[in-house]
Amino acid sequence: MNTRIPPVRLRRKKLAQTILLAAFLPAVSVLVAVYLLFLAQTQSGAAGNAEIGIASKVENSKVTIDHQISEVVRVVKFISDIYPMVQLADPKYLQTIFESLDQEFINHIFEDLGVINARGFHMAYVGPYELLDKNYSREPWFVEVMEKGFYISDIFLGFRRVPHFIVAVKRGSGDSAWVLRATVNGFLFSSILDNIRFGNTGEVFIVNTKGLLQTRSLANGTFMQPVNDELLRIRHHPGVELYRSSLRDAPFIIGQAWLISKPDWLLVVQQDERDALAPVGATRNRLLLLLVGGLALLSLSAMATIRLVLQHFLQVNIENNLMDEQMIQSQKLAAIGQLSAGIAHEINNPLAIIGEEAGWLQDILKRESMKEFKEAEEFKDSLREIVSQAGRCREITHKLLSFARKMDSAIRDVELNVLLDEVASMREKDASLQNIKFVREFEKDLPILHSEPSLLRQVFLNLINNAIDAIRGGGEIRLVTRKNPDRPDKVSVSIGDSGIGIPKENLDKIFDPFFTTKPPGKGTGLGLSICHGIVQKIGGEIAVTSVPGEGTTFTIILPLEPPKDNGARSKEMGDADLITTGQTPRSLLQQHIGSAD
Amino acid sequence: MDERLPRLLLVDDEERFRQTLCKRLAEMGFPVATAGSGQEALARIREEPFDVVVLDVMMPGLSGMETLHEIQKLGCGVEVLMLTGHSTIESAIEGMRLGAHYYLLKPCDINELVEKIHSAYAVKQSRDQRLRQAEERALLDQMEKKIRF
Repeated sequence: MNTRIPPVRLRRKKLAQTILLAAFLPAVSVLVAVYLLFLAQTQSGAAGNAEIGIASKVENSKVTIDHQISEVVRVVKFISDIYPMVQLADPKYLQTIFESLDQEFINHIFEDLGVINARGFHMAYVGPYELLDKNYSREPWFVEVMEKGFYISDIFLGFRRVPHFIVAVKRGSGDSAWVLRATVNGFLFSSILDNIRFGNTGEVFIVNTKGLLQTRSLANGTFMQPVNDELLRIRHHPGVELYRSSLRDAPFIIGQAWLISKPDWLLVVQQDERDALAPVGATRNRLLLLLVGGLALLSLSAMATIRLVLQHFLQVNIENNLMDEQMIQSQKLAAIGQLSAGIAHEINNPLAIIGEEAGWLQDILKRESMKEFKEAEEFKDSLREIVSQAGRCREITHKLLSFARKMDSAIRDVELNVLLDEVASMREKDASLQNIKFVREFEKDLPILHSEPSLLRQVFLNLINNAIDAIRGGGEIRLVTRKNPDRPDKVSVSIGDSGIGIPKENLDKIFDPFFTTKPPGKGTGLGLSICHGIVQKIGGEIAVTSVPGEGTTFTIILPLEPPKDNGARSKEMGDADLITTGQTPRSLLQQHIGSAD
Repeated sequence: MDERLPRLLLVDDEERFRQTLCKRLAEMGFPVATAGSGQEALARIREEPFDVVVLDVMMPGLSGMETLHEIQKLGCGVEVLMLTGHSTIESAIEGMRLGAHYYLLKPCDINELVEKIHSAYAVKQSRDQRLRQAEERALLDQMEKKIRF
């Protein structure tokens, strides 16, 4: 029996969709809500956070740089205060001082140390350059320090052609005045700020009041280059100033503050806003990834659940289908039985009349007066045929009616092996003439059945007849009885032939009434449907397996005890309640025809 | 033994069937009468004697079974053959239990019918004969009594 998959598939798809929807809808809505909340929360907060970040960078860098410069200044002032000029002018002594100074500053930002007299000449010098012969009297820084007593220069190249700045202290006065000058290496100083770069574009740099870079800058270039004044707003203000500016379509957040230790230097912290918001983006991406991952996990587990549920569902469905199919089959047979009984009954009367009319004519032809009638033989021949065909119809209607007829339900003890052997013996002689051998494989101690022997005989005889008809030119018919180890309350009988087999497309039609492959007049197509009806009635099951060219086996599973709803079953068979309900066959027939459309 | 053919009453609601079968049986020499319904049959039986009634089981109005009942009530000793469709075999058998002679499946072979008519008639004749003998015996007994006293 074939199971119809399509409706199952349809239901399966629907179920899968429902489960997915049920699992996903709440989860997705929660996740989306979380995500939206996160976006709302961060979008407003992110910009503010970025600004606060920049501001705090400004504060921190300012502290670092101020500390660094004031350290330098403190040290230079300290040296000039505690050592007399005579000692400092001694190059060896100055060398010692420089060395301890160099050790003091881990970043070695001091480049050299020099003592210069009032005329601008080096009295002593410690450092990598040949500067002893240089005269500084016209250098701006020298002029400044001589005038003010203390000076921190901007970054410049000077004689050495290397970016640096000077911290100079003047001691003494008049012609005996002298200047202690320390040089800070621009690169090393700048590297302090390099270390506090952040993100991709975040950086800290210093410009002077003219907008010239005092340290290196990623965005603006190297020492002493002017910064883009579109970007930067150089103006005096207290504390930290924060603003947004843009350069070549890149939005920047900028924070700036003037240094305390060197008041004409402006410390600038700037960062591309997109870069500043990037961590937020990254968090968002991580969250998004988490959401997608979660959904994937969810769908995987949902799929697994669905698969499990569906497997179970499908199993149940196949079983149901099988039962449905059997139910439909027996109901169909019952309906057809009823219908055909009605038809047979209706046809019977006209058939009787036809038979009688023909018989009457035959009677007349026998009269003396008909002796003269030349065509009498032709008439007789034709009438014989009418009578014989009416007889054939009669056979059919009688079979049809027996199909629907109420069987006498006499339950008796049945020894299945004996009964089957009896039936087989009835046909064995005929069969042996066609070279057909019967093989009996009977289970020895088969339990006794409580069933209807006459019905069983009818079924077995029918199946054996079919088996004989299926065999062409010799073969064998195998009669097998078996106990069923799985179902101790049932036994099985199978009747198999080595005949022509049944094509696959016919297999599910063979139990249908009027289905026959025999030539017209040779079979009514009712045998197997009667068998099916009988087996159903006595609570059994009939199944068929067939391989075209190899043979067919019918297997009947019979219960040891008759079914309890025997009466209901036989009513279903559409039998003689024609009378008990007082309905005429015609009205029944009309009912069937009426309900057919 | 009476050599004459039995007088038949053919009861069937199907007119043409009734008439043709009637003609055929008449052709064979049977004295045949027909009735189209149970009621009509009962009326005919009351009017004139019949030997064998061929009775269709399924008829509108008075059914075959009911007609059989009524015939039996009349107590005229007529034999009844039931004509039946396959689906009413049970009632035909029930009819035999009630005293019908036999049943025939419709459409039936005329020869089979004639055969059953003869056997039914034979039963009737033997019963009639016993009846007659019993009557004669009773008469004799009575006469004997009268003579003795």
